[in-house]
Amino acid sequence: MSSHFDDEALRAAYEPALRESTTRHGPDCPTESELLSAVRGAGDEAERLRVLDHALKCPACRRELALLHAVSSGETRAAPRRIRDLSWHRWRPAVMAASLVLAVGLAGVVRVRSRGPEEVMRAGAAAGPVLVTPANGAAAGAGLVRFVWRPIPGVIQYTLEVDATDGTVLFSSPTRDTTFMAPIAPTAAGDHRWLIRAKLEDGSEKRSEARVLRVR
Amino acid sequence: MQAKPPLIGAMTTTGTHLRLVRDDELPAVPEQPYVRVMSGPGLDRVSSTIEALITRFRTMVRSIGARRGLVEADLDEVLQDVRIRLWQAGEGGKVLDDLGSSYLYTVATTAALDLLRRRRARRADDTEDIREHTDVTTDTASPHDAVEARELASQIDAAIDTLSIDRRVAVRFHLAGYDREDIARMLGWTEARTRNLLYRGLDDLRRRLTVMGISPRRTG
Repeated sequence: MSSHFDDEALRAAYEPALRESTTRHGPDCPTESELLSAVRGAGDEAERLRVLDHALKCPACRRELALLHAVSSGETRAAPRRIRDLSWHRWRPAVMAASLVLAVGLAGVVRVRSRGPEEVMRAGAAAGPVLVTPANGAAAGAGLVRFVWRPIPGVIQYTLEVDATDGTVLFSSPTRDTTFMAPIAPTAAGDHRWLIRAKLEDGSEKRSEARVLRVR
Repeated sequence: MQAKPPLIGAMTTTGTHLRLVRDDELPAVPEQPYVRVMSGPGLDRVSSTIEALITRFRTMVRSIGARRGLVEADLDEVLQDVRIRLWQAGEGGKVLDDLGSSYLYTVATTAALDLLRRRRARRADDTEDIREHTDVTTDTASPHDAVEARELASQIDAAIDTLSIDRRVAVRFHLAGYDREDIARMLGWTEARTRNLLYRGLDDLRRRLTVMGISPRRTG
């Protein structure tokens, strides 16, 4: 056997330390709100490091960290879907069509990038992403709706968000592309607002303008 | 009878659209106070919609939390609260079919936060935690091996403590089952920075363990 720990051996050897579990907190433990802020990546980095450094070592906080992480950060991992059941079989034809549209959309992005630096600047380097389609106030039927926006530099991830007029988030999905096919349920008829949030490498976020989408 | 959320007894529905009503507006079947309000076709549909949501959500959350130390009992407690809050959402006229998945995550996060606050408030030292004993009951190794394994884990922990804080946090996340995407998101790091700090941290740790004379042989 090697005299060095490989990854698997290290995890196995450390595992007994992780088995200890308790709900007893000490005076140095962060509050549950501080834990949640750290899980969400809020606040400054030094504070997040301090809270997480403690939480990963303390059995009581580690258990809470696991719970808060699982219930709050799954949104960015789980496949986006409306609560109405959207089975694969039901949407297979539309999804296949969406793949084609996505391919067209990506080709469009390549064309946008090939237009030179002026176009990139107009695409929103100084501000948030510039929305392309649907147009402001455009009407759409229930089904898959294609959203397109212009890229901006230094982006880790875009998030498409469709909100009801009262601000409730109806649909939210992360993507690295600048085209997204979103399923709109028939029950979502009415005026909605859509926008793109762009998370940048430096941790900041830029937002596009919000446009109205009318679902018939 | 199975324990049910208390608010169910004061609800009715039109399709999957909930609204709260006074209890005297409900059809009276005194001998079955809970079942009577679940007997209508609309309520059946609401109930099954909520249960389908909860089941799907549980699967998603468990898939994320399983390798990271999520305690099943904690999740069950949160989901019971989520179930009640979904019923309550009807009071505001929300249509269940139209609620986005982000709404569920928001509700679940609030429920989890409330659970942690309640636990801390009622003095955690009064709480019986069944997982506190799992390292004793599930270990098939001999008592001597178990003690040695804990001692080795403790030495690794001490070695991790000597790393710089950013590498230390990255390494602890990694060993606790979190992936690089988790670490990057929580710490606001890029993927490249996360990878760099993690790998350097693991290298540092291995060097420290070598200097301390700790090798994998001791695990066998």
